[in-house]
Amino acid sequence: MPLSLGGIAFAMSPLGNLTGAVTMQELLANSQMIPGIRGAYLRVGNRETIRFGDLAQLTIDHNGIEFLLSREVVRNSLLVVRRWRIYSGTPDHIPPPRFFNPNAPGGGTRIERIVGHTHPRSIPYDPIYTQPSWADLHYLSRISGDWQQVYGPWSQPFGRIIWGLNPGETTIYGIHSTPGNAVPQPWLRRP
Amino acid sequence: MSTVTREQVLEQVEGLGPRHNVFLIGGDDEALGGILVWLPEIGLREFIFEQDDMAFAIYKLLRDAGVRRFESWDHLREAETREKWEGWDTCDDYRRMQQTMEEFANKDKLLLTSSGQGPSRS
Repeated sequence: MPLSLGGIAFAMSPLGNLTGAVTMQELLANSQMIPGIRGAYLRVGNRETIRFGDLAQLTIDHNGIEFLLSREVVRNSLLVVRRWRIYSGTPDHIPPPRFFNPNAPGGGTRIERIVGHTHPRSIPYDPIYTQPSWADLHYLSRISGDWQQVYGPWSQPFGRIIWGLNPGETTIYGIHSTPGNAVPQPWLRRP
Repeated sequence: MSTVTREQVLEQVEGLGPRHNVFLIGGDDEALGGILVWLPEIGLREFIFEQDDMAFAIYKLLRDAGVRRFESWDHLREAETREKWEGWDTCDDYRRMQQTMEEFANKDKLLLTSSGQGPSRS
């Protein structure tokens, strides 16, 4: 049964059914909780960490739909607030929010950087699941200008694919990657 | 040879919603660019289709259908601001940010007052 929003049928992309903030434990315990396109704040305690493997577990628990973790930074001239957000899509696509909004309501700026997104393991095996797709790389190139405006002219955007449950089962890719071939940022490369 | 059928592509495109809320970001010669959807209740979302053939096919279909295309994020932002798209000031993203900025404004007042720069207490 497709979800409906203003007459739009979303057979492919759940809108999400969460209000307020949610913890990773709550998401892992209840597969009916869907962040969806709407997304939700992820509540993380002071002494807690976010495990990428938990996002991979969520993808497994939800029949392969992709999850995306982002870091939202909102600031005005005096104050800044940083929060985690989580989104979900389908096994084939994920809907990130806009990376940069220099004209947020009330005169602030808002940045939402994607920390990583999951790729479901494919059966039969397809190496693309650990590597960036064309669309992943196009996203990086499109935000490149805004990225440098935010982080400085020498900074380069990069992304992370989370494809396994174990620590380290992630792939970082920079803008020099090609589809199916992740090339990390220079500062991550070994000599 | 494409591994996706026209029916599969059409199904995905249909899932994006009304055409007037779908936008592309990309240059004239680009075979693949950004596929964005304005959701009046939520805000702007970009759709990253991981399957290459599907991504290219969707982008081509939308471009050939004359979906509005912007050269860059800057151009899209200008249009969004100028045209005040439906739900621009009521969507989830806007309200969430508005709430944050209101919290900031209250804290700003406290900061200015405590530093002696704010209105004096009588």
